[in-house]
Amino acid sequence: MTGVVVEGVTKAFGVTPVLHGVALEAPPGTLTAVLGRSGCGKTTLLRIVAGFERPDAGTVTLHGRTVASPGRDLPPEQRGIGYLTQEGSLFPHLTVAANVLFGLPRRERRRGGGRVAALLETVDLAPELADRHPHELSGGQQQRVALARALAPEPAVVLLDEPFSSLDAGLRADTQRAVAKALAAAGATALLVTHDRAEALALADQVAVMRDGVIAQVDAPSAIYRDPVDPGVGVLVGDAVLLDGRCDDDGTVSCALGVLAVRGARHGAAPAVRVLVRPEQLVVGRDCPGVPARVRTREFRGPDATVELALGEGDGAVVVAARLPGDSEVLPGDDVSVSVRGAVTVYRV
Amino acid sequence: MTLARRRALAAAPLRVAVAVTAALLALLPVGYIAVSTVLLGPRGVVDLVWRPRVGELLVNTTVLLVATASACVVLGTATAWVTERTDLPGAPVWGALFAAPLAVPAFVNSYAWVSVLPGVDGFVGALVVTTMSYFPLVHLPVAAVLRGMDRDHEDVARALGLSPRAAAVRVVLPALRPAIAGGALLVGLHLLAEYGALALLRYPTVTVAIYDLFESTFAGPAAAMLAGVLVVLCLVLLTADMALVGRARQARVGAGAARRRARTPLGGARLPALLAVGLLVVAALGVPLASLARWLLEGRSTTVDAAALAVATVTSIGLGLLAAAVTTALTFPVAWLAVRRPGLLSRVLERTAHLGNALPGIVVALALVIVAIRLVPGLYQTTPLLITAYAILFMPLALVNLRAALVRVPPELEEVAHGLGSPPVAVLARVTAPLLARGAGAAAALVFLAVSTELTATLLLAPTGTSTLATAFWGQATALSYGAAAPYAAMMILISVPAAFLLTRQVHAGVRA
Repeated sequence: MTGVVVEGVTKAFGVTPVLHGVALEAPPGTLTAVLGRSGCGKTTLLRIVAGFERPDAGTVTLHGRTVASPGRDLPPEQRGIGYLTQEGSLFPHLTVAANVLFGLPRRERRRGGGRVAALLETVDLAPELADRHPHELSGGQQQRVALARALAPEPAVVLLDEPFSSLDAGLRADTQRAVAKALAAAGATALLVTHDRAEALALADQVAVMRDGVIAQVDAPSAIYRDPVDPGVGVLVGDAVLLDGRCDDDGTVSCALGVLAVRGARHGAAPAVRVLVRPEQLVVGRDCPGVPARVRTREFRGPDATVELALGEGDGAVVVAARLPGDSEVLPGDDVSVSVRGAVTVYRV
Repeated sequence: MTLARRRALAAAPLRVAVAVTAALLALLPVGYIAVSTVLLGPRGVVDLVWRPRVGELLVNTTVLLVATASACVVLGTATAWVTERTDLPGAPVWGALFAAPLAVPAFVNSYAWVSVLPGVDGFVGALVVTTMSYFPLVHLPVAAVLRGMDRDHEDVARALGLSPRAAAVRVVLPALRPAIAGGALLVGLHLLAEYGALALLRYPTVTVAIYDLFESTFAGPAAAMLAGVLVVLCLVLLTADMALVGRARQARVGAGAARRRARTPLGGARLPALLAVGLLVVAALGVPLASLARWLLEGRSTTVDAAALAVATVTSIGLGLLAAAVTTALTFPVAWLAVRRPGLLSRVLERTAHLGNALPGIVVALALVIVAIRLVPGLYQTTPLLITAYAILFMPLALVNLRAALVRVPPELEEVAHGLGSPPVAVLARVTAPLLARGAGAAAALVFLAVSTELTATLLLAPTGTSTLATAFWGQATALSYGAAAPYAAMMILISVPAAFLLTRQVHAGVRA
């Protein structure tokens, strides 16, 4: 039994192509984040899975049932999905309770009192909210009610369209946690569309990076962060230091940060490669081995600090950013030495 | 009243003062009825009101009101749906055509039907003519709401397992309720005030009976008492509207990108739908235009006084523009208070301002005649007094539009402007007014349309020797000179076209914005 399977989906709006043969597989009961910049086609993909848009070609299968293929297009109401929009889209004319019960058959709606309380509890909301109207709730509460409403009919697939982007930072973390918990408890297969890489890495079981209408890479969050298929994906999923280098046939790479170990299979000798190092891999100290560098700026953020380091002198200096523990006593102007912890990833140019 | 709210009201003294003035003006005719009642005493009132004839008039009025309002709700909502949501070929053109009947005054429509089918009179005639004239009053607001609606709600409903039809009933219809109720209220108020169309069709309603009484007894007590009955009917309508709309808050929660969505394919229903909208346009526009064309051609034999026609045209346009400006300015504070400072005072002011449209023009006119003669004799039969009557009569038209527009402007925007250091007047000019321009334009256009076709109050209040297109038309039509009447009616429709066109343009601009 498979979860959500998308194969060869293409879509154009008029003459503007949006999706070019998207393939994606989301295992049942997991949360897959589709990560991409705005305009990459991720929302269109979600709306095709939901049935609000029709693909020009390709198929969509939900738990073994083909819902969209050439000659077949199941309307959204028959797909057994839950759908969460950016702003929750609670019905303004209904109370919280009526919103939550909206998708249930009339019989169940009528004796819904206990059901409402139970559903509100799954999203960490107090049952007293049931009689309120949507405009009396905070943004985070609205989003949780919207999720309770989406989960009420027990859908096998839940589709989330940037549901946290309109919330402020404090509310967002709490809401994300509540939503992830409720989704896991419901055991639904979830597809989360987002442009927030921290959100994708924190919430998802697997991350699919989307770029220019195709899926560039699908992998577990840690794997995609550590080992992106190309520098573009690497920059999309996290901060990165990108340097020019040269591969030697002993499995090392030489670059401005010295001679570094390369992750994975040996690439063999190559005269020109791109080296991807994560800022937290850089170790900065005064009396330790490494490449000499001068600190240019320091941005303190509490638990950690980002420093800009100049490697080398004058115009030829290479500037890299390093993430250090917040208590590191490194100040602008200091002369330090930099070394790299762990292996790095290289790409042939 | 909380302290904060009291402070907020105190911060807008000019708005409160203008709103109170507007409400007092609207109360003038009711005051006239109240004074007449007091002078008559309870005994006299019962003698005049508790009569079988009054009962007959009430039944006539109520039956026509319910039938016309229901027909207008069905037609107005259906046409709005078809033009806004389906792939009906030429949808924008049909949308414009469904607003166009507003440019044909009901009494001209009535004259057109009577001259095409002389047998059309009584209840059926009245129902057909008033429905064809008034359904745009439901069509326009419903179409506007359909266009501006957050379509994510429908998507969510579909995802929750609702068919398109069920989503329409459980999500779209409730969102349309305030617009439908508001439109139906306007239809009801128009019908209660209608004199010309129903008089030509010989269907006696309370208003027609009042006019006849005034013809015979001038400002006598019997007419004043019948007008009192009419005021009660108006209050019943307003209460019903309040109960229907309730506390429904239609401002959007959040403000995401509203996507443009695909229209529902009509499929096999396309041909029947085209046929139905075509038939409706023939009935609402084709009949009056064809009939007018016929009389215009036949009227060539009779001499048409071109100079008189030109003078009447200029008079009508001038009065219309002046009244539109005055009425919109006078009504804005009422709408603003109702939306932004809800409370007892605002509610009372708003309800009061609605009174005017439910009173027949002649009651407003006679109240003004009597007040002018008793208090300010110099005002009698002057343009300012006539404009005052128009303002009292058509404030509700402007109010409904301004209020609907204000509800859709988030108050946070005004607060941001205040926070940036703008005083209230500057906020009004730089933030609220530009955002409301569309609603205010619609309000002014509706007032202009109403004034350029107003008949009864103009007959009584126009300065001596001044005649508008409507009064000149009525003079010829009631003298059975159909051919001589036609050029005035045609001109009346012609000068209404720009305002009606502006109205539909504004509704359509919503898509592009």
